Amino acid sequence: MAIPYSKRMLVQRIRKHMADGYPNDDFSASTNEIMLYVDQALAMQIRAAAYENAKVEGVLEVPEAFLVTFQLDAPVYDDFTNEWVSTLPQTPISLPIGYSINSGYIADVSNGRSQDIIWIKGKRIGYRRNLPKMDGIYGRVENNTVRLQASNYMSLLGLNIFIQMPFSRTKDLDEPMALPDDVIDAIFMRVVTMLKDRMSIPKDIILDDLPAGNKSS
Amino acid sequence: MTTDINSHMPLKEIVSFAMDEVQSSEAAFDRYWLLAFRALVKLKISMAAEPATVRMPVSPNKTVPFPPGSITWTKIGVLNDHGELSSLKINRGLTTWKDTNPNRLSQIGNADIQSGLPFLLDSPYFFNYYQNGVFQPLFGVGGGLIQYGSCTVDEENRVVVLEPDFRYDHIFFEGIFAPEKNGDYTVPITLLEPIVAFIKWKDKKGTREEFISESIEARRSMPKKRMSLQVINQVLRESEAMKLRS
Repeated sequence: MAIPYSKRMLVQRIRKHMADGYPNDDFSASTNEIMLYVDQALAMQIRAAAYENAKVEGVLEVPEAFLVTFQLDAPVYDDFTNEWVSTLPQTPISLPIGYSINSGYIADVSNGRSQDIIWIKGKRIGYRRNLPKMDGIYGRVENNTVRLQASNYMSLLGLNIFIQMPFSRTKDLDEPMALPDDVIDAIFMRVVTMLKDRMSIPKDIILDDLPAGNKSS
Repeated sequence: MTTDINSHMPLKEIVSFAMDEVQSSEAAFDRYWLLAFRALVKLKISMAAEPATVRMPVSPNKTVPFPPGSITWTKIGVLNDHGELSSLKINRGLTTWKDTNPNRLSQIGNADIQSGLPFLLDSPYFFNYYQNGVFQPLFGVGGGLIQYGSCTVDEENRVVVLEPDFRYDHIFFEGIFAPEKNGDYTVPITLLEPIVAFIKWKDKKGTREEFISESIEARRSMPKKRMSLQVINQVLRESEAMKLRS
């Protein structure tokens, strides 16, 4: 069993790399700040990995390691549209639906997992009413909300909604990170590059045993 | 989902097969189901529909409304005493004028030509073989069909229009009926590959030619259209006749 690799470990590694050792209080990039850089780089890497796959296999695919399943808050009824609204743990990254949200379903102890939620792009909702419809729960995503409606307008009150999606934010710094190890390198490089900009540290001069400043000879 | 191979399978399952084949995401499900629905309509109409037969009473105005749920008709006839359906002649001359009117008969009774040619339907059975009280083949005259009446179909008003002196109380209506929908449709398993090919074609992942060849292959293996030795034997025996051979 490998040691779980948490976001805190990655942040510490980056801090040590930047400070050339354990950073002291003068080191201005805080853990939270670096965490934000990591989150930002991770989102880019999810997209990169999906499109990489498309180039190799011809199929858009988000690697499973990025996926996390969340139970959403109990859905709230929207009187105006007859939809049930719940909030996603984060705004989905900009992949097409089906990849930005991998799947969704209802589950409970006595019935197990339901059929998957049938995802529809928001722009299709209008004319979709004129087309034949199969039984099931239809869902659309808008910003960080998910809006669900059963084909027979059944109440979704109290149902447990689960959503599986690639997750690029941090919920807990000490949880194992949801990413395949091979993208750690890219994230590390990206964050270090951004931090170099941010801290304006001319690292090559620090590390090559030469005195700081311009060479006079 | 069962792994048994049955004669029919749900449309959803076929959609899942298609999604698996092209490794698509869950979001394509709805779109693929609609494509599968279109494929089903196409295949049903062209080859796969199983006609159902209902017996319908003839209305007093000698018309018969289509039974509910019927998409189209395939055969209209009367039942004979051998348990066979004896089809009616399709008479394009019959007018569909006022065919939904309960007083249709009195309306068309007011005809412009009152002294028509003698009506020969009194002896319908030997129509083309009758001469001078004996029944014999007439040289140069086609055999004709033995008909128990004639009808025409008003597709728009969904009624079968019978001739004014149609003699029977009921007709048999054989037609293609809308598939029963219970959350999903159940489809003959022979349609699995054509529907998958249709979805791939419409999703730009396959070609129309693939769909057509899958359809042809499926049609040849449809339960009622499959050739068996028994059928070939029957065709040969029935086409055997005393005749000139080249």
